[in-house]
Amino acid sequence: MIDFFAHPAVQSGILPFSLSACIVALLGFSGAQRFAGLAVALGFGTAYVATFGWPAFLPHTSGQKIAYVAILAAAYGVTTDTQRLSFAQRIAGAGTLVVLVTVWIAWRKMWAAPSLDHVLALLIMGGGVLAVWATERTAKDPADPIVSLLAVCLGFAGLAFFGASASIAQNALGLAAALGGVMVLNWPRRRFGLSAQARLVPVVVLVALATQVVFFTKAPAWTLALVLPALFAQSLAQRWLPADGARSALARPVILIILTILMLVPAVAAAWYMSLSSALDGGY
Amino acid sequence: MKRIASLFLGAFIVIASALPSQAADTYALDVKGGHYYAGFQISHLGFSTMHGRFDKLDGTITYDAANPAASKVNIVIQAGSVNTNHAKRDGHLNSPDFFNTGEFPEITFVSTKVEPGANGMAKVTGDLTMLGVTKSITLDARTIKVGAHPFNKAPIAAWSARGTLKRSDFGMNYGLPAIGETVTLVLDVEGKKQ
Repeated sequence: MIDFFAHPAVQSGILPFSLSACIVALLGFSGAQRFAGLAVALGFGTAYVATFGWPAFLPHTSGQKIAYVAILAAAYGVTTDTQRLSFAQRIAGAGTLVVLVTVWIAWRKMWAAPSLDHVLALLIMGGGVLAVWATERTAKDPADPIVSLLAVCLGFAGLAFFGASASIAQNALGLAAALGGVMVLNWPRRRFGLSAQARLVPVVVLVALATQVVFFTKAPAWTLALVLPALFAQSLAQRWLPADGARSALARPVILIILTILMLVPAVAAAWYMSLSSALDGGY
Repeated sequence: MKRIASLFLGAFIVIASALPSQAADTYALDVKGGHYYAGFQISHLGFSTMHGRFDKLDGTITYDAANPAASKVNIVIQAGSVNTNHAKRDGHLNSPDFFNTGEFPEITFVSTKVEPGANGMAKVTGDLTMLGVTKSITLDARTIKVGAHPFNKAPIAAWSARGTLKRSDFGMNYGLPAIGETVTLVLDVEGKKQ
């Protein structure tokens, strides 16, 4: 049994996916629909604990901080959903969270004389705010940002894997699986959980993971920039996405996830190419 | 009078340097000569034992032959110099999954207590700091030899130490339990008297 839970596919796939789907169903069908989006944070949290154990009460490493980042993002997501914040308020609040998370994760690099690291941190913050804007603006289908984020998490996992950190890749896969669990209950019929709680956790955690990748791995930072356009797949590919009706509910997420993944191919390919000499090679 | 005082002072210096030293001597690790080894061993998925080492370290050992309990150890390891004879694995060990060297470039050991035993053996307890966490560990140490280099007569000394730690105590949880929890540490060093 220990071997079963020690397998990365279980830790970052089966476990968060099934738990997230169960939580969405439980909260949604029990009348607590407005909190169903928390399934992403809980699914991801389960993946995190299965992979790394319980995080230290006072986190020392950037990796230990990731769990707390997810909690903060989920809390802000609940605030956003329950307080009915305006678009500008949502962007301002989530943008502030992105800035704080970047500084917190990269604290040891920020606490130094001005250098390229500070420029990179600013770029991560900018990219994070752009990601918040891309996922928080009104979508034709509330599943669009969830589906885009799911694909982005998969692409990010590939990028982190080639950047020589399996744990960051596993975190991204855990996010993707948790989002997948939410989508299972919302496909083809949209039900519940497609809220800011479900969107903000992956966005803010991805910003934290991106900060880890840039500052603490050998992955080339510029490859991360190639991920950002994928968050706009729904806008860029509007003509190929069915707009209304049952056909749209069924086909739109499938088409969107394929398009988003295709848009991520250059980023993953670049990360792979750049790290040919140092990429992880399973089996050692 | 002044000449007599100078004579006495000179005689005192000659006599003092000829007497065997009773105070503690500080030895700097012979990094330049490459007479050091800081290694570790860990179970690989319950099958083989994987051996690794750190190629860059520095430090001092203050050794008091008359009172070994007063001895002190201070070692700094450059975590990024981890070497397991496999470049890709070394890259992974440097990542946030394990030694997280971008965030925590150094591993340090500072002794807090030395309990002498028989035949040059001693239990050296100290604070090991890794990944931002400081924990007390105890090494079984042995003074191998203290004396003059046979060729250049320079005073040198050598020690060997073994110990174990639980990596999860330092927050290094990734890969547990498949990749071993208990890590065996091996330290073999030679120092030159400062």
